[in-house]
Amino acid sequence: MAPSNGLDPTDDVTMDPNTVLARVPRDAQLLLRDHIAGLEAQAGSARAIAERLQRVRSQDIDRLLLKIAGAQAERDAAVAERDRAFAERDAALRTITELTGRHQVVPESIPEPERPRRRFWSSR
Amino acid sequence: MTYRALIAVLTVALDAAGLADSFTSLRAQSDTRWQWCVVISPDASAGTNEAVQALIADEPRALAVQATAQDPAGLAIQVLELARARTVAWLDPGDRLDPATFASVRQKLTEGPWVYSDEAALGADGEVVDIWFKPDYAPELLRSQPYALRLAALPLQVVREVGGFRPEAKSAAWYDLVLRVAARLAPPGHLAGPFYLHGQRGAGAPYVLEHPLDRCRVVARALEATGEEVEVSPIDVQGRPVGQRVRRILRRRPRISLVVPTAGTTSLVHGLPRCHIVELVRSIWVQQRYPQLELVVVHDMHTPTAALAEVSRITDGAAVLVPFRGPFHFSRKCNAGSLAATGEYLCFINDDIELITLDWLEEMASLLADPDVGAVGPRLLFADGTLQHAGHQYDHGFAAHTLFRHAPTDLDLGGTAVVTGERSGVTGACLLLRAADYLQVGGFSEEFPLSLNDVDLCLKIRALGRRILFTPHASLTHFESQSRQAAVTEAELLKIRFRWLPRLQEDPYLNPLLRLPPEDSLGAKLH
Repeated sequence: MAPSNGLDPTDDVTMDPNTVLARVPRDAQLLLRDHIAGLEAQAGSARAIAERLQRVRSQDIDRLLLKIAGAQAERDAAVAERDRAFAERDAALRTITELTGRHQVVPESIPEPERPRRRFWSSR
Repeated sequence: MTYRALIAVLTVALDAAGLADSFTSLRAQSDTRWQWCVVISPDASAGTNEAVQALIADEPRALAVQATAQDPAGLAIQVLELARARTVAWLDPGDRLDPATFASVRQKLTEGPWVYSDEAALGADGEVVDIWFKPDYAPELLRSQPYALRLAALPLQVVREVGGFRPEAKSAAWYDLVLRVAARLAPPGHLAGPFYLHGQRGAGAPYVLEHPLDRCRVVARALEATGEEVEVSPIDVQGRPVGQRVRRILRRRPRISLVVPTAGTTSLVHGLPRCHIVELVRSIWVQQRYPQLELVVVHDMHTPTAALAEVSRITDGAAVLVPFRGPFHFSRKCNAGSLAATGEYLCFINDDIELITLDWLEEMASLLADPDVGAVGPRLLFADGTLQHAGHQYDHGFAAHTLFRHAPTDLDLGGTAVVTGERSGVTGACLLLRAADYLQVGGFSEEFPLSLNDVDLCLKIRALGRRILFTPHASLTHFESQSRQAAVTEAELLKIRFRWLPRLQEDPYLNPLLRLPPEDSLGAKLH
């Protein structure tokens, strides 16, 4: 014989909570329903606060990402500026090198300026 | 890519005066995707057409034509034909828009299918002298007052689907259109802030501009379309048009149980002793009264037997007397009364109340006939005639009475105290709701013996998805605190915040710009 769970097999054991509540005396129903409504309200409030915090956190993260992106852009611009300055300097050096290379003879053609005679001072 | 609404602004010009201001405000918009459609009335002063054409000569987004129609609605129909945009908005000549209006509307259209903004009046020097801070969308308020018209941005496709402007709406053609579009669409986004600026009108000038009869006619027609039989009459306060009263004709009068908690207290009112329960029952029972009425009196054990005997005598024994044992507990007493009541509707009413309007219960019941409405509260006045209750407003984690202690005819907040409209809650001193809803949410919570039980009940009703209405057309005098000392205990305050804190911080019927900054709110301290 199958073990009994204490219920009549004809009982509907899958009752909707409202059906269960409807069978409870009305004064107890009011208390139970308020208790349920209160718990649902607390759940709703907790959800809303969590969403609000999530939103605030998401805004904070957005602000942080924006700040990072701004700093990166600033750094990239500064690096580009630096690289541009290096490039300009290199270009200038190349020009000078070319110019000096092209006129290598020029310095040789220019007479060495007369150096002042060195004087050796001696107290002796 | 972000969706960008293109707005066609409709204007009917009677003369060239003021149009330059309107035009300048359009050209100053940060969102440049607008179109200005102008029709020039045949009644316009001579030279208006030339002046308008000269004004817009170098502006390809503006178009002005000479109208053939004579009447206001005919002109509106003609100007609508010029619109080639996703949304349409109405701008009266001489009125202006804040430069951020269209950009803000475009952003707000992501929250709802249409949008409306707050509005303000400008003084002679162009300074803002009066701002109408509006609530979030409130359909009953829209029927009571054309509050979501300026600026309203409506989707043009839906405007055409509902048939556009109707000639019979006359001066209220835009109101008529907004009502029909609102009935078709989901709730709109509310653009808080004075984006629509009435040019040089000055403080104290009315915001409601449509002819009263036209307003009443379009509201009646909007409600008749839903099968309701109504009478609509204009509301003027001190000569200033504010809105209209919608009186619904009850086809069926549900049985109402009045539940009155009492201790049989007698106190001095206007210098004379008044046994509150006796006088309340006398005024309800003897005078013209709601036909299907049941009276349930929940009395403390020490209630004078003479008072109870008088109640029975006045009602010919019809009053149901429910004895209540234990210390004073408002919620428990009301719940005990509800268990003895047999009405389809329950009306909880304090005993220290005197009727002002005799059809108060009929008025409240007519509003509860709307299945979307969950509870209705009347206007309560103190003995000195000032406002005790015109609905609750929640902010900063607290509940307060709207325009508390103001004159009943105060037109602050757009005249919210003199027209029927939505609230987040109404006082438990007098509150009508369905008995089935009351049972479903567990009645007045016994967690709140003295105070805030009405705030909790209303929030539970709203959690069912129902709206709560305040009506000034049911008016009562409340000799509050003459029967007991009103006090909010710390425990009740903590409990209500534990249940409902976010709701007590963001009341949709209190303009966001009137709310306290969130960093100041108690919620920030509690969490």
